[in-house]
Amino acid sequence: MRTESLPVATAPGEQQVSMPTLVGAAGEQQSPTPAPVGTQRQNTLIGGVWGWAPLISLSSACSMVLIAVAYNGGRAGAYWTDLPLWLGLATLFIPIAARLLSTGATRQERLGLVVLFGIGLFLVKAFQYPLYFSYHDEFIHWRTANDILDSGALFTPNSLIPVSPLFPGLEIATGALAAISGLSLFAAGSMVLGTARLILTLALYLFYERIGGSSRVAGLAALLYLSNPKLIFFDAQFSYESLALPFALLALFALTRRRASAPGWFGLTLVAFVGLGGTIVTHHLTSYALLALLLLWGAILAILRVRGAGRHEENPSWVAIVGGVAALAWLIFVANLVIGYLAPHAVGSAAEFIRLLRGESASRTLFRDPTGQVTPLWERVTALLSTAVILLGLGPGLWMLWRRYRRHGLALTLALATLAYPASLGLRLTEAGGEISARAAVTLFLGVSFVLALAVVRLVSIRPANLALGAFGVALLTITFLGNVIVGSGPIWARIPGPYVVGGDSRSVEPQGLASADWALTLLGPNNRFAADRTNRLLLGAQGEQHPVTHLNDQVDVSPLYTSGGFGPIQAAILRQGNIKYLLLDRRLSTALPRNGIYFEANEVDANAHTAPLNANALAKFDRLLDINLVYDSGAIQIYQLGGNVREP
Amino acid sequence: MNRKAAAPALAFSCFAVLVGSLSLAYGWRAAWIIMAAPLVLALPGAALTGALFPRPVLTPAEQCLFSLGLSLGVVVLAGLVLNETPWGMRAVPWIVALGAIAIIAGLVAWLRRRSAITTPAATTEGLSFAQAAICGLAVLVVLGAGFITVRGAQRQTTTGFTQLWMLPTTADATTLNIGVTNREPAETTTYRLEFEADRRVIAAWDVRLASGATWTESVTLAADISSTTMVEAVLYRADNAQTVYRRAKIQRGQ
Repeated sequence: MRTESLPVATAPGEQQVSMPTLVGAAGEQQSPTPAPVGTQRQNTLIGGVWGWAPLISLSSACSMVLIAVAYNGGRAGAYWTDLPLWLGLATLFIPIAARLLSTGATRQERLGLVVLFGIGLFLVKAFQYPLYFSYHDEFIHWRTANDILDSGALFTPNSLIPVSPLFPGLEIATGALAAISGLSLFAAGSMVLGTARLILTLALYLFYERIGGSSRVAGLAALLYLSNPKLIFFDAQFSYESLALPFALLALFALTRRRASAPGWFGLTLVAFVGLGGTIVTHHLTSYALLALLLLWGAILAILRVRGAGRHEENPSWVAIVGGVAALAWLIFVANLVIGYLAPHAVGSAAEFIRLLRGESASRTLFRDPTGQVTPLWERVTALLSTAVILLGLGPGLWMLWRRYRRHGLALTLALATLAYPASLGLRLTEAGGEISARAAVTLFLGVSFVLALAVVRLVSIRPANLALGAFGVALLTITFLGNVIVGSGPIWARIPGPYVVGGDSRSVEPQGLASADWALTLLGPNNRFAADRTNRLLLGAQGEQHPVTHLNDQVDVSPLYTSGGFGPIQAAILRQGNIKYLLLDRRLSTALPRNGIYFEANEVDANAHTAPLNANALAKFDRLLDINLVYDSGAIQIYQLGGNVREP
Repeated sequence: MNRKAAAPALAFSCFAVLVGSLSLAYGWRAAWIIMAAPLVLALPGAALTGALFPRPVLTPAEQCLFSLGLSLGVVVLAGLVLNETPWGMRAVPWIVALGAIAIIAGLVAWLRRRSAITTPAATTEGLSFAQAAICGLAVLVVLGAGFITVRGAQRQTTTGFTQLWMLPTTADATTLNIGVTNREPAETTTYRLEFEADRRVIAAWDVRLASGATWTESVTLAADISSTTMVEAVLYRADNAQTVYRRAKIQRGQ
């Protein structure tokens, strides 16, 4: 058996490149070198192929205790929750980063540490609200999953977001597990998400190992990717991207693993198609980003081959084209609503960015929530330092990439994605572009993480001779991670569970709202057309299986029903156009500004710029109107049944 | 998946289908919950990985990745197919579909593996006893952390509340369904509920409810009450009988 190394060089001081491609006697390529077998195991805590990983698993477990204590403190309204939270996150990250940075860890240890970190971060989110779905998007997909479970069929309209049922991958998997096991959708969904996270971490590590040809680069790149702001909380929630991303990484890894005429080519191609198909059915943006990446990779590879390079890579173009046709077919025949859903976001943020460049509009104020609450100074500094460290690391990383991988098509593709990252930061200065920039990070960080890992591997090593430099490297990585947590978790009130706040998404989900939604389903039956605020709309739509009337789905803005001091022709027209039969009134809306800037929907008057809470007298008008019945009262929440001729007395 | 792994996967698939059938027939629910997770999350992918890669070309990490990834991928794609069938995505069609995929792919894996050239499989060195013990301890600590956060969420202090409702059960609202649910933090709460027509109390109940308990009553209006009368249900707490605690009202004939 002879060994044929991938055409990449090893950086000075780096551990032996650990991705040889074995070519068997019959000419077939074999898997990477297996770990030594049959060696005498020593009964030691540290050592062997797993190295420090078992001991670090214990420190990671202890970090989970700290985080659980922080969350419980938040629930009790304690002021000291920041300390155990940040201590827990640092305890999770630092030992893993230090070991991945060291030159002494084995491949198996690095892989184990990456999996440990991925699962640990997943638990950081899962421990926040361990009893029920609580994030905004989770309710939307819960409704879709519930419809599938109830009807046994796909594509039941979902008034919370019409495109959700058109990309039902996550809900199909969750529904299958719930239907077979009888588990609740929350339990089944959590199991599917946990499995998806395991797929993501394994695929990430193996993907980077394949490109970088180094377990050290792979470990660090995977660590950096898992630390990206969107992955920590957003992509751990019950939402389509959380499953689509692992599918996309699975497809990417299978495509990088393929070699023409090598054993397993057919199997790997099939795995790639299953991953690609799963992505297309699960999430629009992820599938389009994956296809764009594959097409770019194919184009770069074609150029490299003209110049006599890139022979060791299998061109993914035909897979991308087949995937593109499938995605287009899905878009045309199933999910044509997605164009109308995505286009306004893209056009709006582009127009806002142009206005910003021309000086015609002010930039978004960073580190300040819509109620004016400012992020603490140390958090602002850490977040900015984190971005600065990333940007500063890109230069040497790109230089390393050019030196070592300029004949490698996929590495060059990731380099191009990396170049788009600084530009995407500019979008964060606009209100609409902030969301797009954050979403783009999920794709762009594939490149950013690889490039940064190359820079880190080149510049920093933990060895006995240079422990100070190693500590400096760990400190920089920790700043990057903590900064990303600050950016990804949003305002302080969103980070830790706690008492009810107005318009605070997860923090606004509490027993009274859930009980009202339950009551609506039990006593009124499903699919009644409701007017409600943002939080109760989600609860009614998901838990209550009602049809909340929205601007997004029904083109009806219900906010004037609540904000107006009286009931006139405009309000009557809204009831008529929306065919609204019930109205839910949450009187707590008059007690505070909405934490996320919105009482009802993004198109309401003064969205993200409210200066005073809703007028309590305006909310009280429903008590005096005619042809309206107050059918439910739980104190803060009332539900009114509306007749066909609601009017002022 | 090598041959050694294919046989247990096949056996496990058969076992899963058997337990599934028994559980559906005899209600072995707990057993089935344990079996359902592998059937959805791992077995179809593990069997397919064995069928697609009969020679040991994959590392253990790759085998694990493909087993999980293909399982979820196949479940999603199978869901699209089941949606087009008359049976839909119900428990039994899911069990049959995923069980069939796992068993057929497991058989293919076994057959292909038999005819493949045998080469040493990539194997993973295990943990030492001390390392396994420390990993076990880590798992226990994580479970403890999970317990802490779940208990904390269950005991989170929230403002208690009481739900009162009144719904007409007939079009002319001559019959009304009135209900009270106690969700106050105190163990038992005593209420007084008054039913009024045109501000005149025509019925009243003293209701004593444990926390979480519900009281309901169906009220039929007497024939002498006007069809345009406003009826109200007014709830007082016994410990504050002067203040209206909850109110529901129906405007009849509007």
